[in-house]
Amino acid sequence: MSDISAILTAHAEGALAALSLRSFLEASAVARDAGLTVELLVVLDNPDPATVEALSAARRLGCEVQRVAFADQGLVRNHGVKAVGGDFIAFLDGDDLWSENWLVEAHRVCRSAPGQVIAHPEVNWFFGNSPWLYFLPDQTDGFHPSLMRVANPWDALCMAPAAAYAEVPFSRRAITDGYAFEDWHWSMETFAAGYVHRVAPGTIHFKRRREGSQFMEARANRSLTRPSPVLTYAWTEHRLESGNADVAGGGP
Amino acid sequence: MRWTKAPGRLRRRARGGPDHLGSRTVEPLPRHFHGLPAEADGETLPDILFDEAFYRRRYLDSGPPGVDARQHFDDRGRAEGKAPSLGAVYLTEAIRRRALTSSTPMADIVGLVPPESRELVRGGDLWERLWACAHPDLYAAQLGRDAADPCDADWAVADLLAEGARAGRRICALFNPQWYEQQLVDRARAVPDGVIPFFHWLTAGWDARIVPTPLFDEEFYRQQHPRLSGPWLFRQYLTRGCYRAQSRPSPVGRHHPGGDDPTAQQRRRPLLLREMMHRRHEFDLAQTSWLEEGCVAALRRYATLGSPLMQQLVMKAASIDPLVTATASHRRLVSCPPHRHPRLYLSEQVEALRVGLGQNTADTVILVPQLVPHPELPRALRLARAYRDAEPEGQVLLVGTDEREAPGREVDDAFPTVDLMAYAEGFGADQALAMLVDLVRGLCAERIVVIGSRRGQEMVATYGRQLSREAELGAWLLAGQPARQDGTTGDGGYEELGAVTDWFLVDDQEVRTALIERDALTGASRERLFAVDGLARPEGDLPLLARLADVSRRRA
Repeated sequence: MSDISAILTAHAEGALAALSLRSFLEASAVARDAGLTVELLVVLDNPDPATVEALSAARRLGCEVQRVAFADQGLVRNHGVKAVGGDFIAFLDGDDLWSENWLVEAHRVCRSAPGQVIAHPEVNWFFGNSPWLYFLPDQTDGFHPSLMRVANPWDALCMAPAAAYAEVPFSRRAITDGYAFEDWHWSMETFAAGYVHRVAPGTIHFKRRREGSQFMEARANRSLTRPSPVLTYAWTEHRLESGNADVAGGGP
Repeated sequence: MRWTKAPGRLRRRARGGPDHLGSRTVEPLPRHFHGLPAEADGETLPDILFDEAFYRRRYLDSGPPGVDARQHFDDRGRAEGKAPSLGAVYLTEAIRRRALTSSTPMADIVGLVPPESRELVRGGDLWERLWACAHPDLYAAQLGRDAADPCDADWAVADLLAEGARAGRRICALFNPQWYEQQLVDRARAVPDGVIPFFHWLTAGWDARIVPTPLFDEEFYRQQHPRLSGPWLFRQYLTRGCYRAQSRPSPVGRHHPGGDDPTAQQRRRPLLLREMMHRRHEFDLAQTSWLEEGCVAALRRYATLGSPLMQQLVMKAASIDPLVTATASHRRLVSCPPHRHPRLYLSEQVEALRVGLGQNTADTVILVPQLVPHPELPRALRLARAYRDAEPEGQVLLVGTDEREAPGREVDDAFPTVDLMAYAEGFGADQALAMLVDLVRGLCAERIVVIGSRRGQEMVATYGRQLSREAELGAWLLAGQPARQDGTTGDGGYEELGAVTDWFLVDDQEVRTALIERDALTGASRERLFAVDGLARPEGDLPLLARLADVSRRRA
């Protein structure tokens, strides 16, 4: 069993996927240099030829490569979770980049309270269209859960204990029913389950913003998150009455 | 024409219109002046408040040569109500107020201005700057008042000059004392001992174009508003931009919840004042605020990207994809919860609503435009009572969604109510809608009924397909309500809500028949349309509710 399972998911990113693969491999190399064992998995979901071509070197470079046909990001990630065996799992989307220290620093944060902590980068560096810097909140530093009712504080490009993904799998995308934002829903469900979302200081995720992304599509489609206990007044009151809103009450 | 301020009211005058003084025509004074206040009669006019050139031009041009202007003022002009300088014109009310506690009111006010800038006292520019900075609601809040008279910047300025400045009060939402002092430190300067920082900025700082607030970034503002020009856009933001919803003053946010307010400039209420006054009792508003503290914290986080480690990580990523650094850093927006985020204030308000409501669930949520007074309320109460009779254990909540409730009037003690606009005021349409969605989902409402509520209709039209999976949706259609998007008189939302709403009520059979004929409703649609008064009564409304529930069940 490895310390970390790193999973790169791709679909139709074309040549951009090769850039993500390079970032994926470099962060893995830094982690190995730090003494961690890292398992590498690339999952191709209905890939177009350009994406297959861009990732053609992955197997030769030490990655296991699997092809699936879910056409659904959440289901692809769930598949990846089942296919790996590391203590902690980190996802990378096929057009994004990790800072090279991500795996090492995120692992350090996750190891600080094994099985309870989900690590996020300090900054999401959005580039391309609508450049934006998003400093992710640390749940133990002034965070109030009411933010989750109107915005998604975190996303799924994080590192979490493998058990967290098994306990809280990603939802199927249902945009025609008006439900989307699976990352947001996953954040709420893991929060409700008692996981603590922490930030790994000095780490960055570089996230490409493109017209037509799933997030943009969901926004334009006036989607909502699926119902979650976190959205309810009763849960909020219970949460606030039972303890500090900043700290997860009881681990999994 | 333009509007000029006089104490407590607005007066209109012609731009550049002449004043007539005897046979001479001179430029009008910027505000009405009726002489120095009698309360200051015991004090000699300080030299700095006398402008010989102004006085001579205005009052002595046609007089005999060789007249000593100052002597003329002291001997006659003061008693005749002549203005000694343009600066003095702005100060009469402040002098009057200061005279209540000081025998040297004019010298005291002049003494607020740093000695090296005291020449500015004579003219009007300094005082125009001060009036542009006056935000009376912020000032009133430091005195424990909920709000100033909406127009009364004059009151705030006079009080500041008379007492407030020495007491450390802040009049300008865009002046932060600590931030300003740090800007000076960065320039190897400092506010001299004994000088009030705000007056230092208003003179030396203004002339040096120092931005005295963390809420504004000159370079970012210039990038966001390329049509604006000028060497110092902060002045534009202070005088105009801060009253406009579309302004983007800083990478860390627009500082307001999205809604426009056409009266903001007239009321001297910058849109950012709403977030600035948030949690006002937790902050010393004379120094800082929830908004400013959040911005400072966000900017501090932003600055961490300049560390060697972060720079190295960015450069490494850029070596993989150069697009990472293709955008100049000052054009990037920054979010940083819990300090700054486009929806942070919304999250504060939805939580305030939850706490204010004091209940965690409601079986039936009835949405009306306004709690009181509103013609739709009797319908809402009738339906609420019917549900209470049918489900004695169930909770019914009435929600006013579009306009604030009139103060001092009770709806009906039997039912809890919530005035959404008490929490959503100032928000843009999207965020107000998000607040309503959060309310009905937060309460786990099993039934949502829209009665004339525009925001309720919008919610169902936008999110009806999701909400219809989570709750029974009903609407009471109101004949003659302007409901269609083209503004024509319609039925209160039937067309917009028809696809996702489980059932509709109308007042009587006549309306029902008209709707059926107009829209050629067929069987299934007809079955969802009920005339309230056409139903059999002595049993009250219970049969109706049973039929509504039945329709809803079948649709589900």
